[in-house]
Amino acid sequence: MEDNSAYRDLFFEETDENLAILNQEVLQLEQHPDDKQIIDAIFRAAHTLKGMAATMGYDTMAKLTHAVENLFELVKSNQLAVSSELISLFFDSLDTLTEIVEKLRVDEDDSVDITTLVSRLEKAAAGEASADKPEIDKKHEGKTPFEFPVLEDSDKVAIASAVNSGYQLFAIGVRVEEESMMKAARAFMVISRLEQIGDFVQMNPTAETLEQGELEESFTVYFLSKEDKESIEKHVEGSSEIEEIWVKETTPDEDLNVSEGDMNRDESEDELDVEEEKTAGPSAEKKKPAAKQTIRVDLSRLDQFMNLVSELVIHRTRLEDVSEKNHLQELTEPLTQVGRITTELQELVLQLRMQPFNVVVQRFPRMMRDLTNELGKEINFVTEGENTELDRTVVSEIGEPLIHLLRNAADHGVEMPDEREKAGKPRAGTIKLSAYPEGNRVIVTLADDGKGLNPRLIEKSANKKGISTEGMTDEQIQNLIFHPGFSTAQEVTGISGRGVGMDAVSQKIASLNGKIETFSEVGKGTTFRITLPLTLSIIQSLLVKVGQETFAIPQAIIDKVNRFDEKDAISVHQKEVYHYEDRTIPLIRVHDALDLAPSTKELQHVIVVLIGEKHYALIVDDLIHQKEIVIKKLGKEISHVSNFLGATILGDGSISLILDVTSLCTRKRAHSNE
Amino acid sequence: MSKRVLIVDDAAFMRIKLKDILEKNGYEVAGEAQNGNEAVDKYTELKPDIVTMDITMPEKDGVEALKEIKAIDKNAIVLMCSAMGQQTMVMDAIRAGAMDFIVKPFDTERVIKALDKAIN
Repeated sequence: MEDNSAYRDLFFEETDENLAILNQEVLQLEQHPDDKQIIDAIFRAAHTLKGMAATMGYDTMAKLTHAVENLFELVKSNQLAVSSELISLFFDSLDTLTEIVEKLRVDEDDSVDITTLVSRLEKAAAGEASADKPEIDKKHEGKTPFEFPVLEDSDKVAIASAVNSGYQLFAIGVRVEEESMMKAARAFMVISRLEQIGDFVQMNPTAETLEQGELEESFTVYFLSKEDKESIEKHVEGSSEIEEIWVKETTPDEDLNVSEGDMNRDESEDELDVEEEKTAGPSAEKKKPAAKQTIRVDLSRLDQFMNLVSELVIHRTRLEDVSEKNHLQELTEPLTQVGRITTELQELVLQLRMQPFNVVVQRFPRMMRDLTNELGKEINFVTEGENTELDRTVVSEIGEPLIHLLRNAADHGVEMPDEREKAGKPRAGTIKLSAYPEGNRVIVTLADDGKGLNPRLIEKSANKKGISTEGMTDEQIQNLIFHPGFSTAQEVTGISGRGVGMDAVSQKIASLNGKIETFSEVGKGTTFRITLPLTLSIIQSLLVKVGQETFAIPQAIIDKVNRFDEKDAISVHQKEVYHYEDRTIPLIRVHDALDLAPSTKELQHVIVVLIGEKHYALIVDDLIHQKEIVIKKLGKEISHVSNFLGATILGDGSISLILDVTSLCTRKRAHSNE
Repeated sequence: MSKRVLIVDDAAFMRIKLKDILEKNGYEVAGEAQNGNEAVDKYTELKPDIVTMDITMPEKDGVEALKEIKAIDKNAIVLMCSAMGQQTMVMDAIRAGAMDFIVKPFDTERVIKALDKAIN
């Protein structure tokens, strides 16, 4: 096997894409079983997958995709009707394929047991189509000698008259390389060349057999031509994977087969006329959504590009400084130009990192279909704004929390059909996922028309778990679903209800510099509104001073900034809390947390941040100003250092670290819980 | 002078793999196309010595593209790239004037042999 590691990433990227297409299209097929275009699209995707898997040497995957493709070929050529059993068989295959791909992604091993699945696929194929046997892989030991066809009397007459008009009879044997695939097509290639310079008298196997694609490894012809042996040999050259071409001038009476030993004549010729039907030609119309011209680029290169651009910006600023200080008028104009171009570059590279929301969404319809079936509910799943673009990192991270929310909506939100009918709602519930841009943020909403979050139930459940709800508004109580270790489900189902999810959801979204809000009305439904930044590479931040150091804090999580008065800090069990809006929240002195020298400053500031649904108070010395910064990853040498998201280079060339507030606050919490 | 090849395949993965094979064996990749329409356009534009043409492609499949290329230049050397199970299409392609065909998964030696032979 050749070294394919260089193509691995690309392989997975394209495989994911094709699997997504398959899921989507099979889902479509279920609705429109007769749609040729859908069938074509499925066939093509399965086919591409097979080719890629085989090239990578992933045999299990290749075998499975091959079986799927075979079956689909039958569907394509109308030999097999689309049934619901067939659809579930396809879905099962897709699930197994996904499993295989996931295994491959982790290590190079694709040993998943697919024997039952493959045999189901084969059975389905055999069930309807009488003769669909793979045309290859017939192992042959030793080489059969050429076996020439029998010349009939009429042939001999024709040969005699041809010889009289200057033709010569040749016996030609062609052997295709044993390892070669599609031997019949190889033979066909030689035949079509011979056709240009002469006529065939007899052929073994027959032309029809070849047309049907059946050939063991050699074929023979009696051939009439005015050319001589050399020129025939020359003419048929130029085809690859032909092991031998044997050309001999002969007469009709010479028995060529005797010298090779009396061969058992193949009976198969007689059976051959039975099956004439063949797969539909390739000229069948193909559609494809207008393809954009694209190339694939390694994400790390884009990051590098981004870094270089931001460095360029920094040096531009320095140049501007120098030019101003030295009153270099001549430089002003070119510097303005450079300024404009760098800004454009920066915007461009940001755009390059954008991916449509659809990348996340496209796998959901399939999931919702399975969920709906599993739960015995009726749910319409609607998506909107799939083309809204988001930073690639956000796109790849947001999938998981969305899945969780969707599962929750299907499981806890939407009621059973009967229950809905009783409540005067349509039997089928609706779950709607939409995305739209709003300024430099993207809003993702997930709305269901289910039973809503009942504050009383949540309250009861919270009290049982020892969470106090005293003095809370209904809204605040509803927000308790994000509390760690909270679940309202009557019983834990396989789908959701373990109570670990919502907490994780809100943390994940916070880590993306986003936030999640809940709007729910009992009996009407629940809406989650997730606000996400367009990009993670450039953020608004607040620059603060702690001791001698300057740090950046992401603006998105800051709730409030205030002067700090020691009176507001209350010591409770060796930790400090801060009095904020009639509540007490954990207080973190940044210089303590980072082991910096204690502050000597008289005047300190408190920054109240909101992480998930929890507030924390950070104590810093000075506030410098608010600034848009470009996040640069810390090198791998110091990537293990927690508490920092990365670094940024400021206009004067100095470097400032960006605080990972989430890690700072939660670690502190874990610490003080001991 | 190294021969110039136009690679036609809808999967980038396949194009890269083939490109790698060709370039390591002294061929020059003159261009790449992702579907039949592009293939015909690029053929006219680049006039490559050889075309490797995938059969199953969106918009216009390889056999159609082959026919059009042959109509433009009857001496065009086109090698079909096919996967297992496409024998009928391969035969159609040969009828339409394809010089040879390579079966996926690509095996470096076979690919190069087929190209070398086609050139001669």
